[in-house]
Amino acid sequence: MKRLLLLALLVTNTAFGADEFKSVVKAVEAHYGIRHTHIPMMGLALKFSPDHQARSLKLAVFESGPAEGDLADLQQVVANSLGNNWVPFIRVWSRRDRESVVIYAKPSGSAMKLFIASLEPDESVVMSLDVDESSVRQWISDPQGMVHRSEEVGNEN
Amino acid sequence: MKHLVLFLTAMLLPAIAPAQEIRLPANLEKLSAKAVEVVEVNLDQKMLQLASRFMDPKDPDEQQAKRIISNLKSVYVRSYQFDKPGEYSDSDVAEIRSQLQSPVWSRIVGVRSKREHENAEIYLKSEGNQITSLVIVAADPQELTFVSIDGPINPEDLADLGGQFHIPEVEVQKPKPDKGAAK
Repeated sequence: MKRLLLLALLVTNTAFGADEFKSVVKAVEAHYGIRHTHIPMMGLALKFSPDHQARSLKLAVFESGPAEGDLADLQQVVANSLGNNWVPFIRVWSRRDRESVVIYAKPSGSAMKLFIASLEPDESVVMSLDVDESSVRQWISDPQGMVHRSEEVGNEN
Repeated sequence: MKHLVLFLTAMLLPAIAPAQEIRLPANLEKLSAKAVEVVEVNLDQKMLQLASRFMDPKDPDEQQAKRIISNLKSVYVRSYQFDKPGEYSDSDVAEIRSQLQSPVWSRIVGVRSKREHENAEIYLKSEGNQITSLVIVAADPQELTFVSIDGPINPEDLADLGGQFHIPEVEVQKPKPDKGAAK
């Protein structure tokens, strides 16, 4: 009974998204058998960045990923760990790069929060960030291009 | 014990609920298998409302787009990019077109893609005098794009939506319903 209560608490925690980012990172690690790498001073660098978008960035980089991308599989892994208020709105799958990307969004005051998971055999990224009005407009007009630019931002940090 | 299991199931259900129904032609998976890159944009009503909040109030074109999307129920885009011309066949597209038949759907003529070497077709579904759904099929030798828009919309509105959400830019010269529908 104690174990079941513990399980119930765990489920509640996951379902209501106490820390959705960590939850997705853990789910990706468990599902694909990969570990995210520690980037020294990254947290500090982001915290003091003059750019609000960078300050809001949470990033986990993995030095590998599944050999073959599977969008449905990735979406399920991410969806199971995110709260219900996140809306899946872009999915990209590239056979050329063996890359799978899912992007979720949710409103956050006058801006939007984005959650991006991108898996490739040699590198995978999970990130969340706040985007301001002008960035949202760019996302709307060029979702695919913005996926690639976000990954570049993630890689630079 | 049974109650606890029920409780746990109820807690988990929202997280594992199946994806919403995508209002797009069936058999698109076949194209996914042939494509080198697939882009899917899924905008339900909630997401459209959210996106419309970020349209620039000073830009007349974006204001027009905002007016249109705030009435829509959903926009789904599927874009398939192929390595080289000939990787998808006419029969792949014909199979999609066959699902857009009259009397439910009517194809409009006078549609022109703004992209070179791209052919665009627009199909409409109406209830009374109101268009309730619209499908765009845009094909060039290395890329196929399907757009399904659910909600009140006019083909002329596409001029304002083109280029947003990965929707192809098309020009509708003079919309004339072609009751013969898909060919």
